[in-house]
Amino acid sequence: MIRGIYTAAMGMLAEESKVNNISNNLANVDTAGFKKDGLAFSTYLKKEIFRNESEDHFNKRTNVGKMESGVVLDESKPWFEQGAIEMTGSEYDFAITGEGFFTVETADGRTYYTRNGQWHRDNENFLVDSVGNYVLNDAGERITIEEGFRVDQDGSIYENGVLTGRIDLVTFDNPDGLRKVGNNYFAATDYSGPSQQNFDATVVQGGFERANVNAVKEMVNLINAQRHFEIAQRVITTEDQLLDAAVNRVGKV
Amino acid sequence: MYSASTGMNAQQHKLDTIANNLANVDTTGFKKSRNEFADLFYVYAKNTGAPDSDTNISNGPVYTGLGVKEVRTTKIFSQGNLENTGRTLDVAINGEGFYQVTMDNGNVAYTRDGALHLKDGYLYTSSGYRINGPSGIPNTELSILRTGQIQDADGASYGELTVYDFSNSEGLKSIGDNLYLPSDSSGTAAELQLGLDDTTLEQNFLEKSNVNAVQEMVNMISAQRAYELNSKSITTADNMLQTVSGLKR
Repeated sequence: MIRGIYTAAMGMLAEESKVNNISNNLANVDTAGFKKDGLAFSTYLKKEIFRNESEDHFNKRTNVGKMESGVVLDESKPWFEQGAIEMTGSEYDFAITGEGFFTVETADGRTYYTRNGQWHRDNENFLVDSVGNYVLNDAGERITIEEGFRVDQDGSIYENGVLTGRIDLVTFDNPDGLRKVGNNYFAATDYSGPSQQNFDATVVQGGFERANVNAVKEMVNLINAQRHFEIAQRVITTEDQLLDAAVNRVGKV
Repeated sequence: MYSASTGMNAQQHKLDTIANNLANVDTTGFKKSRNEFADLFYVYAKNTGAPDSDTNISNGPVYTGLGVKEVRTTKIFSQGNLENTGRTLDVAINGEGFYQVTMDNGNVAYTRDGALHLKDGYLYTSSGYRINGPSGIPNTELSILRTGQIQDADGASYGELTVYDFSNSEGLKSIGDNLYLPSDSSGTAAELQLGLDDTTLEQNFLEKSNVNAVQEMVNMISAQRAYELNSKSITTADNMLQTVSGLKR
């Protein structure tokens, strides 16, 4: 009976983390290249239950099934499905269709990966992203551009018709292992593996990728989470009433 | 709850920008703006591979995103439509570049406002700033060539209008009155060779603003909906708190 209270409380905590996650997804509905997060839950303290049967002075244990005492948040991970591409006509807007990431370098030399292609030119003619960090080419160098540059589908950069380099486009063995660090960036980890360049990426110049957050789905999840939360709360109050009866009424003549 | 409030803030900024774009839909030479957003920090409760309390090895991290922030507002310097007004002193810049004017404090600023006026032999913009360069212009029927030369009906020349461009126009600082100031990121102004550098002047024309009303209306609707969605996250979080307080009778 007491255990039920804790199980239901864990359920409430799980729904709360769901709502936190949905809030963040909805807050970023207008963030270019944002990838929504999904949560995975797992059962907690799974136990096998046995029945003890005494037969001829031998204890026999018969398996009657398993019992789970609660739920925990096991994993959060970004969902990499494609976001819609909004065409703007601006020569500084880029999007990747299909898998892959752009590579950017911060002023202090750290490398991050992003799907955000809202870029600009800084005062030294470097190609920078909206935060001001440098976009890299496939040789790992910062990209300098002049007015009237053009980028091909495979990321090749042309200035006045002359090939001057290629935008770095990378993929990972296990993109799920990438770590979100804010500013639309992903960082490589031991679990994602190192970045790899050899794959067919398609780049669009003149448009950027919108967030892949689906407002309808998020709203449905939000309603779901709230109702589950209320149900778990009802379970706790019911358990409480049972305890009340046990404490105050059992043994009353 | 707080993530959602950053989302509402972001949409509020977006609506402000859209409102300003729409308000300037008829401002000569106005350039629209756009907000750019990025996700805020992530709090990691558990890293990849950290064992959970059930002594199993977990296969993924657990983290919570904290919302959204606005990282940049960008002016979009695409060409506005040219409208034929038939007025002699309406001179639109077709292509990149800006007129150079002097402000009251003596500083130099730049504008694309080509609705010019003649006063005391000088040309002024519609906001009353004097265009640097031509002087002593008579109040007669003038013709302004595509390369900027100002001539009267007899072909006598009175100097020329000059147009300046920046290596990075996006870096200009907008200060109102259709004026822009150079900044560290815009680079310095360089005089354009009118007619040679893909930029020409068009007499009798005005450059309309580059705001597309339909596009802005669509953006406004989507921003309002996004605002509402984020408010729903907040009411849900609020309802859940209420449910929590209902635990204790």
